[in-house]
Amino acid sequence: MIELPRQAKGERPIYLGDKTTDNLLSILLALAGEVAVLRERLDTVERVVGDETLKARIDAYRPSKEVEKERDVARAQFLDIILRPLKQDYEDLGSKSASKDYDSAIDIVLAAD
Amino acid sequence: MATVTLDPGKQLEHGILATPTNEEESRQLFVTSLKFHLATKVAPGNKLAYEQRALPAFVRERGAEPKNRHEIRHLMDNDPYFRMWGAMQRTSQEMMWYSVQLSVERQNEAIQALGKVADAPLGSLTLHPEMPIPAYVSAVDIHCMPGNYHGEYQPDDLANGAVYDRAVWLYVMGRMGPLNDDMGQSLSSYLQQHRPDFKPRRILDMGCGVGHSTLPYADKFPDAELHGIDVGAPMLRYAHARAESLGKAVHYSQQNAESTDFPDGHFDLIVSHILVHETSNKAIRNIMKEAYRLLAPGGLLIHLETPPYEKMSEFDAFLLDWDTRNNNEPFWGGSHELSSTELAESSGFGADAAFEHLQPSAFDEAAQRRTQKFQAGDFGGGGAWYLWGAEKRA
Repeated sequence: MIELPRQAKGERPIYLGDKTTDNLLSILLALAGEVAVLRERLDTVERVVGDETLKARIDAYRPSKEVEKERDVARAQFLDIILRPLKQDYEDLGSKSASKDYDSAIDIVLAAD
Repeated sequence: MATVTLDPGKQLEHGILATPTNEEESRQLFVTSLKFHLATKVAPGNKLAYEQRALPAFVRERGAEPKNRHEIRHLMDNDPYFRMWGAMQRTSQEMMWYSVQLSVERQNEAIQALGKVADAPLGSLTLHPEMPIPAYVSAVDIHCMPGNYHGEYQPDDLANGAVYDRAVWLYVMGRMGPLNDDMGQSLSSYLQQHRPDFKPRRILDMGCGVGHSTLPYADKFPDAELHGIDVGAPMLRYAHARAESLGKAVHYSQQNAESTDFPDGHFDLIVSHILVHETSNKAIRNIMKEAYRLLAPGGLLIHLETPPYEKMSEFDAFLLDWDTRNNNEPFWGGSHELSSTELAESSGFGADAAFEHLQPSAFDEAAQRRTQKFQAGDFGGGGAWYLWGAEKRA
């Protein structure tokens, strides 16, 4: 298993006045995406099972210890996904790569010789 | 290879594609839905914000309209609607890469194993690990793809090739076809429609990436020897495995299009698809000269891009130019102001050898999902591609 880098090299513009507000929007959109994923997953389950008693059985279900462990891992990944912008800030604090001025990239490509 | 049936609404699950699980696909398709929503229901409001409040306020203050797209940008950078659209557009791009990375990482071992092509390949792969990555590629991660075209994270890595293949399908909202090949299909259709007697013996695709646009030439010109070059090794390893899995003979090599190791006059046709805007003012001049050297007399050089800014209003140019500063495309703006005649003249072809053409998209099935606009965040939605190039006199 590898983990590819999550952050693209290059300064990210500020859109909504400050980084905190931009982060809140990114979190909100990621969360909306995960809600859509979840709804589709539930829809898939109901269609795959195709059983009229499914709803009552779901209401009565209590997870085992093994299932709890699996769900712990899944929730941790869920939080990694939706709170990614905060981790990016944290990484920025420890790295100088994101502080490079974007204009320097424009200067490089527009230079005549 | 057996003939495959293409479903126009789905990416073809060829041998090496990072096929998503049910849940990964939901996460990926959410990004496509979000991008389509932004392009069709949010982006059009930018023009309203400009015309109804930003422009009148500017005129009241200055007594004149903004002179060019740069002044419009400085004006609109303060508009809250435009800023919210931009924030969402940028975030959709970041979510897209992440949604594909998770799927590629899960399948990493299988994808790496599939990258080891069998003993008797139809084509070939030649890498030059010592080759320097040019500054116009390495300055920022292009399209905000973490790690860029050349980032490597394990031996013989092709992970970012796998990420790119799937993400392009999401980025263009499926509108470049099940093989993401609308650009190569459209350019080669132009040749068949407008130059039916042109029969290239050798073809070079510059900046081929994972070979999306390269493969159509194998079908359109089955007797030609087909080459693809790129600076990114993970792209080329993936391109090679992808072409083999699809039964196409392509010779891929890691080379900078400014200076290749092919002999003089080696090719009859040199093409590029969205290469020019990833280069630089200096590099495109070198690429033109190199293409002139590589072409045989009577040969053709054709670049495919989105239309230049001079063909649109200053406001539309400003909107299309968003990618320059917001999608890590530093030469996007500069490349849309190049002059094909000037470049043909300075590279040896001669100004009168230059040509331009607007070619309709070959992938008709996507017509309903296209906006017919050339705007940021809507790539492949224009329904046409801008071709420019030059013919080397016989």
